[in-house]
Amino acid sequence: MNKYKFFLLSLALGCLGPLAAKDYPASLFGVKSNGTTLNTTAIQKGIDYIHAQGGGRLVFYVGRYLTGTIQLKSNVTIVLNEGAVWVGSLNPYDYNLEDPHSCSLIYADGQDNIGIIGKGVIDGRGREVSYNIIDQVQKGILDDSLKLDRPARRRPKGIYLYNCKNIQIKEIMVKNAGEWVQFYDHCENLAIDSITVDSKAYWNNDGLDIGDCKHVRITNCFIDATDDGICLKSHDRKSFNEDIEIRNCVIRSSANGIKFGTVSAGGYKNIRIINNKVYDTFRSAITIATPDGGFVEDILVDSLYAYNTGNAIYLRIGARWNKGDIGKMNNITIRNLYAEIPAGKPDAGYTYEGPVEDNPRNISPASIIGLEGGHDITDVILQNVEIVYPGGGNPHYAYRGLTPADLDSIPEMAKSYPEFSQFKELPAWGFYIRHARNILFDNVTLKALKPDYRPAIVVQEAENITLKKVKYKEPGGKKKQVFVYKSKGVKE
Amino acid sequence: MKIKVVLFICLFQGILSLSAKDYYVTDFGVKADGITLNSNSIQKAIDFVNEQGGGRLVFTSGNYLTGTIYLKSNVTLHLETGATLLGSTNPWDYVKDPYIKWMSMIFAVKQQNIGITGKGTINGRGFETANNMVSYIHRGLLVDPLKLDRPNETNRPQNIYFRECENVTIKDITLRDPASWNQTYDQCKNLLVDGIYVDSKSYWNNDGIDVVDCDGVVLRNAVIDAADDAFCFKSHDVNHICQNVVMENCVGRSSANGLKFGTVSRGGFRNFKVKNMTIYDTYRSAITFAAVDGGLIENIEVDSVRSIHTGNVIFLRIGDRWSNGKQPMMKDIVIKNVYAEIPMDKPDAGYNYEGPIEDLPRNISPAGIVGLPDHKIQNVTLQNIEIVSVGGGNPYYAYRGLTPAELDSIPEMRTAYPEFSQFKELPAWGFYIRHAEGITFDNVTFKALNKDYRPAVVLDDVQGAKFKKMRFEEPESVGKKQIFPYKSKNVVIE
Amino acid sequence: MYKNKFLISVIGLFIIVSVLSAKDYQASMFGIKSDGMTLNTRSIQQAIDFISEQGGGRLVFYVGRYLTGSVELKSNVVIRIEEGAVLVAVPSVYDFKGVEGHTALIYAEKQQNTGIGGKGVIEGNGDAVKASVDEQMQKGYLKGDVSAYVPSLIYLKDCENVQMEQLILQHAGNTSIVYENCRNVSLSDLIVNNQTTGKKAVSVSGCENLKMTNCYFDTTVTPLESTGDSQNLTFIKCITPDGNPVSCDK
Repeated sequence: MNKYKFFLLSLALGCLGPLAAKDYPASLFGVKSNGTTLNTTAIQKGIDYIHAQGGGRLVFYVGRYLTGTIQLKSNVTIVLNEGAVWVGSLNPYDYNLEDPHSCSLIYADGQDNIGIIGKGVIDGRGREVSYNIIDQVQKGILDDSLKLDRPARRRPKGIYLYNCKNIQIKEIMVKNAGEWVQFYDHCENLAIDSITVDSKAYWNNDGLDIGDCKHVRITNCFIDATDDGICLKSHDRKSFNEDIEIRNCVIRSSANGIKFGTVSAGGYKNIRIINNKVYDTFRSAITIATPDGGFVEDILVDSLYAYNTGNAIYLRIGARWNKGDIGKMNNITIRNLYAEIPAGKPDAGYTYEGPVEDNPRNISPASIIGLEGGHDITDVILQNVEIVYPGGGNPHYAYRGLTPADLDSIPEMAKSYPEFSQFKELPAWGFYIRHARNILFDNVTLKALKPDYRPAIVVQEAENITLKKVKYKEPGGKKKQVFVYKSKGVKE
Repeated sequence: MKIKVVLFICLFQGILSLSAKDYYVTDFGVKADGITLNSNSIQKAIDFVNEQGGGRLVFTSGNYLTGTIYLKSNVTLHLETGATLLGSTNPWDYVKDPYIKWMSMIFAVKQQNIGITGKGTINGRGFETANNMVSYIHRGLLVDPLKLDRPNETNRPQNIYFRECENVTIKDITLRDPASWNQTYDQCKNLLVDGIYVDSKSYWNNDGIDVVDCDGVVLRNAVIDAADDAFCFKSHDVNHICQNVVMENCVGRSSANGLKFGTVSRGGFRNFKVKNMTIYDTYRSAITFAAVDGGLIENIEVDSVRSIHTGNVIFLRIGDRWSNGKQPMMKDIVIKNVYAEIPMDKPDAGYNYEGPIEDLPRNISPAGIVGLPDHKIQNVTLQNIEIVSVGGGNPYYAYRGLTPAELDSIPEMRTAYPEFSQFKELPAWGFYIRHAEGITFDNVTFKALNKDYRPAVVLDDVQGAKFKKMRFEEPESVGKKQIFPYKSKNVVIE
Repeated sequence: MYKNKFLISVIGLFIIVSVLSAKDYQASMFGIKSDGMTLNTRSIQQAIDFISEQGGGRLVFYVGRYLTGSVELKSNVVIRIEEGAVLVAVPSVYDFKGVEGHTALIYAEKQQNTGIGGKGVIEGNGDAVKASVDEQMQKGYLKGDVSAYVPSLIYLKDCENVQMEQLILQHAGNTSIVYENCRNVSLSDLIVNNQTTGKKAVSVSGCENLKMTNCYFDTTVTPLESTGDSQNLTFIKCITPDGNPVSCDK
């Protein structure tokens, strides 16, 4: 609590700091607003100069500012006023291409008290840059495996901040990165408020990535991205994410709305996700995945509303890049969640739609799936949850029955990339629970709009599962909606 | 008389197309969103209008993305204000016509009564298309030697290429940024080009307009700003001739020549009347007539020219490049009422795709009439001319003196590409005339702003020359002999 | 000696064939764009022509949406639509071509050793294409039978040795797959879904040695039709949504 107050105070101070700081207009450094002059060196000079003067704000007014990679430095805030657009150069060689981590339009390493604020725009033009990288690869100048026919490396991000402190990102719109839109890695005291992300330019356009950060506030953001909307990652086994709050955000994604992972080497602790909305999203509204050995604990998801979204909830332990450690997932509370799952493809018509997967598969249930060998997901509470499904699962199209043979044939897929759809056909239409312990469903409603050949819930190889005030709504005759297999202590 | 007939036909044709039925291209599912590639839908619309007996295909305001389309008889593409035919930047979306062996956005082959009208725009976006083609060539998908690090002209799409068409009207449109030449009218009869604006500086070889082996041409009220030759008449076919041409009220800017005959000049050029032409900021000559491929140039009149800030004013040249034994010829040329200013600096500096800086040193070059010993340029009259040159030729920078040895050492350069600057240093600052017969200068003023080491005019192997009302102005030139004849006969200076 | 020569040449031929079939070309090589907006028709055709001229190989589409009009398949060229890749028909009638008036998204005549496969999707966009045809008919720019203008997804005529496998073919505005006078063709692990468009899945006429295995046909009409005198047609494990094995309309 004290820590939290301190954080708020420091944020407030952080806001005051830049306000009092000196303003330098970009033109002072010969930066040109015509959209065709490459300003990389001039903008960098401005930042270096202001940094050397002890700090201040580099201010951009209306205009188009063409640039390559810019390195942000301590005590410098970039102010993009309304109408100012940073336009990413189309030439791949204008970026710090060869550094696999920092390749980005804006990056900073080890800086303190920095910011990017204002109602202006950062437009990475990532599609054209990516095409130009492909061109260099096809001509044999750059070396790249072109896995999946896209550059595996060197696609510039929008913003990459590493090991920085006291960061303010406010009001800006970030568009069209070549890869992840923004990645805050090992940062502390990070406030992201009221930003807009519109990034459907190319593959892997995550909206907002947080990696191994402490004390983060993400508030009032709107995110529309081809890959995961807001994504917490942990690349570092020796570090983890802690004290992160995501509040009042609206998200559209052709992957997951809010996601933990996929890279999850260290872990996640004390994460609060409050009052967010997800719509037209291809995969899950919330995915919490730890396939790489990291821990997940003390997670609160409160008031999450998902409309036209492929799946509501997916909790998963895997063993992908785990190097011997198996991830843990404890103390997850999900309450006041409402989700509507469509029969069709939720993100159809958006640029860079999510990939249609190898079918057949009827509509998948929400799921909590740990790993065999005692790696259960434990202490999960679902309270006041309603999920509306289209139902209509057809056994001739795809089938997973309830016989021991059928259920045992569901693969563990420990090493696989975790997605709610990875198991293809699952035996339930509402919720599938496997390798889990101490799970409480309290006031949970599962509704199918058409009859489905499967029961609502299948509990398999689980222990101490309490289903309290769980309601099932499915047209057609009464049927047994809960099927328990190889489990102990299941209370209805 | 013949020209009047041409005019009448054009007028008649204009009325015809006005009264023809209008079809709206968007009715055929064509989208003006700048994203949808419309080639096939536009083609369907053209085919339909053609099958219905003709009419105008109207493009209302919007961006129409397209690759190659073929215009057909009795169809006029009408581009309203704000309508743009936007070229695809993907070279594969263009066709290399198997008969013409060039690429273009709009082709017409052997069609009659066709046109492109209206205040809309054709924008080839050629810079991107050409560069994408370079990429494909590097990937080995198309074989091209990439001479001078660019794809061959025939592997880059033009905006318009009409071949063997009759009764063609191009009116009011704006043409922008092709990947190669802009618009070619090749072996067409009765061509009217009126009121067009051309901005064509997007890539190499961006000629403004190319009229090739056409018969019956009216070109008027055109404004052209082009990286290569602005108004260019060519003769590709030894059995054809570009003839009966009226060109009026045109303005040109070029990083090559303003008005040019050639370079390809196999058949020839006959019966031209050019009136009221302004050429400015142009790298090479305001007027270049080149007969270097065996063709003839005959009966040409140029009247009223302003040539401002242009590298050279007049260059008439017979050469022997691709003649294949055919005898080149140039005769009966009248050029009158010309005012020209030749600057010291590079006239096209700062324009996109500037002309190439050549092997120096060379002092300011004179205008030139340069034939060959065995093919003299005949009967050229220059009347009411004023050429203001910066002068200032410095003999320590470059030098060509007047001794027989020096004058004879000027190479003939029979097979070279014809440019006014090809001989490097010439011995005159105003006019250099070699291998010519029947030259008349009447009321011609030469003005040098700075003292030059050379005389104004040098004649070499000129048989019959008459100079009337000549004026020379040059600082510190009292007593300087400004006309220097060498190996010439019947030179009369009045 | 002769036998040896024969053996060597057979082995040589085999090596050549396997080398040829192994060569993969990525779509991006030819400037084909996966953004779902760029109309790739001529780039894809350029790719097929190029690969065919090189002696054959596979044109591989990875995850993405590839908008296209009709393309003509050529001998020794195999189209791979990998998982997540969708070949999307452009909803514009004039972008389709075919053989003798039968239009299709992918068509071929008199070609051998070719195929389409790879866990991806061919999206026929049938309703939108048909709307475009209807509109043009209404305006009088097209005449005759609607179905003459709405393309099939695949139309093969007089082709030999063609494999089609593991694809999802959906929303065809006309019969999804049409084979005429083809020999030695196989279709396996296909999912055909024409629920919204109400069209048939497969039409076969005058074919010889056609084998269809493990296909799922979700159509509102009888999914298959066989006209003319085809010989040796085999259907194994091909079903409709109610689980019934498919039968042929004769």
